[in-house]
Amino acid sequence: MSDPGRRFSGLLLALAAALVAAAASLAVGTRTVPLDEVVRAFTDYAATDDHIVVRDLRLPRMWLGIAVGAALAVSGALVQTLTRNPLAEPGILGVTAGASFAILLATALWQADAQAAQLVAAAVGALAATAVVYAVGGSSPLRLVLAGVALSAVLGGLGLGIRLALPDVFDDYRFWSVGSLAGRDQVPLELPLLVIAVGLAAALLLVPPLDAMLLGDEVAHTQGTRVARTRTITLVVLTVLAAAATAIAGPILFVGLIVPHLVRRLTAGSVGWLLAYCVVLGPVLILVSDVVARLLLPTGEVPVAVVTAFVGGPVLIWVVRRYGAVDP
Amino acid sequence: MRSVLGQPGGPRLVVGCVGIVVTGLLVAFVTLMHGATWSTPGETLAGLLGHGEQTFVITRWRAPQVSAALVFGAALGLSGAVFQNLTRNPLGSPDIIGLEASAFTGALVVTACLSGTAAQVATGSVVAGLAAAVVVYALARKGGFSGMRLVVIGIAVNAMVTATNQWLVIRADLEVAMATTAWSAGSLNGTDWHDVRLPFALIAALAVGLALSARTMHQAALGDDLATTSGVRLGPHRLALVVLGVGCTATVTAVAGPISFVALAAPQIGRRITGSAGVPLLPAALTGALLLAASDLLAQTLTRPVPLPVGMITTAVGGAYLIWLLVMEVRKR
Amino acid sequence: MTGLVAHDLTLGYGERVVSTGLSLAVPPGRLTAVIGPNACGKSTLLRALVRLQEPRAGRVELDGVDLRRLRPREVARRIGFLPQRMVAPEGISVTHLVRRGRYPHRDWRLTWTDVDEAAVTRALLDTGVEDLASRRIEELSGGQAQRVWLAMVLAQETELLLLDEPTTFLDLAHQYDLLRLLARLRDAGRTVVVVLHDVNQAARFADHLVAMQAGRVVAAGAPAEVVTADLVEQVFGLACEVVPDPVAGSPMVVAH
Repeated sequence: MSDPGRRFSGLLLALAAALVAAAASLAVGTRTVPLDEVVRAFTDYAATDDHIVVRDLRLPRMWLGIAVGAALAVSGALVQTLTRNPLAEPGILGVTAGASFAILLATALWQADAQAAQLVAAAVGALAATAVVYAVGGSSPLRLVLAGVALSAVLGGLGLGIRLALPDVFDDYRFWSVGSLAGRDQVPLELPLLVIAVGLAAALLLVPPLDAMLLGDEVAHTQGTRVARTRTITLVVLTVLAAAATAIAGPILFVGLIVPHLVRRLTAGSVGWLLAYCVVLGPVLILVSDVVARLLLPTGEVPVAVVTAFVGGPVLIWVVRRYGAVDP
Repeated sequence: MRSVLGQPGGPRLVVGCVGIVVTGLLVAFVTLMHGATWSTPGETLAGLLGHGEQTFVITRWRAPQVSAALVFGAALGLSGAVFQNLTRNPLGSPDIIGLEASAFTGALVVTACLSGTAAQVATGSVVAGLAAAVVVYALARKGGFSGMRLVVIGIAVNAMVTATNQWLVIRADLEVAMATTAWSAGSLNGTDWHDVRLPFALIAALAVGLALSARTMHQAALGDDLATTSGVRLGPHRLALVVLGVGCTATVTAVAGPISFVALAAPQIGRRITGSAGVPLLPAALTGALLLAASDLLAQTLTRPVPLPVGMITTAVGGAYLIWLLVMEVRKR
Repeated sequence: MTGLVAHDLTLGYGERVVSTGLSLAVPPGRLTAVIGPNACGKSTLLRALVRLQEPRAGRVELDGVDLRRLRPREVARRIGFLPQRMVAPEGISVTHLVRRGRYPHRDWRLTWTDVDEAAVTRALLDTGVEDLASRRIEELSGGQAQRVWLAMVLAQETELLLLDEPTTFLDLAHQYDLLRLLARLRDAGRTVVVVLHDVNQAARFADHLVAMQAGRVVAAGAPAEVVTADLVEQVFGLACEVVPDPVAGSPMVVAH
């Protein structure tokens, strides 16, 4: 068990990393803006090209990255805590696939391209997918993952079918089907950001009962935790977080898996610390990946999901080799 | 009654296997009837036997694709069973742990850089598949061998390799990109005898090798300790299985692109239908053949006259069936 | 020298060395029990005797031949081992599991001979699980499953039989059933080596006791010579009296 001091200094370090990542995401791109110019864009706005790029294009994208990263990481942390399954992740359990497919279906049936409608569709789809995977998977961790992979495959296949059948409707979707932050900056951000903020706040309220449940459902029950209710609420919260992130950025795998794995040793036994680290490090992962994506292919950008796979893959391998895959 | 795999089996194994074979042949026959217009069963049979006016269409155009579906399906099923035995985990399939995606990377690279012949593409995909297997296995080996650790590492490798494939397709010339887009969804459309001669021979050889290793494979399923003390040489045995299993997956991928989910689903479906212990090879191979043949029929008929990539159907059908099986299993308890 | 003999073994995992200069001769046709506190190297020694643990130095010999120079199947036909943890393939029946014990006796041809069948039947009878033959292994209780695994190792028909803490997860009655079965196997001419936790059970059933501490053999010999108050104090750190077992007359440890 690590001492609180180490956890605290670790969190400060993570915050510093987040600050650096945020600055980089404002400064780096096709048009590189020097850092002092970035600062001036906020303190001394002069409507130069640099200032416009920073404030109107990159700032919204940065907020998007922060929101998506935090939502995915916290969602992953919640599902890993809940299922005691280190492999659990919204993407692997089919939640992301449910959200994507529901958006696709809503677009096909009702041309639902309003943001609120898409958010609702994503949430409904994600919840339905979670319910199905849970009903099928039961209590066995392995079967849960198997059910998630199977459901993702089914929905992916059906989705591809719908897209091939209605090519006109889905000109945009083709872009969206690989997770990315590009081109999302034109849409209003208030609603999705609000949903994610509410979700994160709700996750915070779940910390005490989840902490109690770390010791096992029986112990938690005898200590006065309402186990079943906590379980249901946690499921809803994590699903909505994953759905909101998917609705804005498209399916981005891995963030919900990597971040909790990375900090698991440091935060062992404390859900609160785990969530705190996830809120900070999830955005770091997304922002860094987004910056790398811009650098890799300056002309046409590489979708951020491609980069998270490359950033996340080795990290995951390292963690698994170092700590093993099974102990939750 | 004993199965050819050296494991004595019950009547359910025999009935199950015969049932799968009969269904598979029926599906294959119906697929042979399908063309721009449907042939009658009589015409199809006559054509197959070499007389009647449809002989050419049936034996030269339709039969290669149907055979490819059956043989490739069996190969994928075998490969899945091999890796699920090796990792002692149904998720340890080549399509989950990145071997299929890597084989496709090899095929893509060879096509883009060398504009390769069929044999070059096959070699490239086998080499890349083996390389991925070696990487995953080497990373997963640390103070012993854990199936779960291997699956997690495999998922990570799969994500990276899939990302590489997307990146390669984005970077590729438009012409290559157009060709690889259909290929990257996994497709058997337009297969002719010329395409499949080499792969069929390879798969036959690999299947013989697997049949000979089957008993040792089942012995190894008892855990490392008991396998070793009952005389299994685990190191060489695992190496042989990896080579054979990757060979199966990579051969198929080189020709048809990544057809996912057959390798994951077929062994699990097969063992449940036949009520087998562990993950045996024969039911996996037969189920794989049936699964791919049925998916190919659906792919050809669903959106007539334009055929879909078969990989799309295998994911949907295989996934749905696996979910159903899991539901039944939960209900039984 | 005949039988299974360990010469001057150095054993360890990674950086950690468990034993150095460890030597042991397994007396043929006897029931040997290895006792000692947790983490004293009992299991490691046993694993070295069955090729599961490669010695850093020294060698294990079977009838004077280094085990490493024998073919794995050859060793498997002469030494059987029941580990602490086994993996049962999902859905396997008792008979099919016990048949797997015949693996080292079968060649590449796929024939199942009468000799194989007889060995399996005998193993099922010896362990008293013949009534369970068609059941699935996951339907069985812990005690039943343990006997089935033992039947699998018996079907291997080896002259030597090594077992690593086979009584750990059994209730008291099943523990004694298993120990009596081991004694019967010894009476039938097999050489048995078993790691046991319970000193009293070991003293009662074994002909030969090996007491280990911190990776070394502290004492070896007949139970009456080995189990003394001084030795128990030295090996387990437990102050005790040793009195005769009221039923069997073997030495019995009673803590102060």
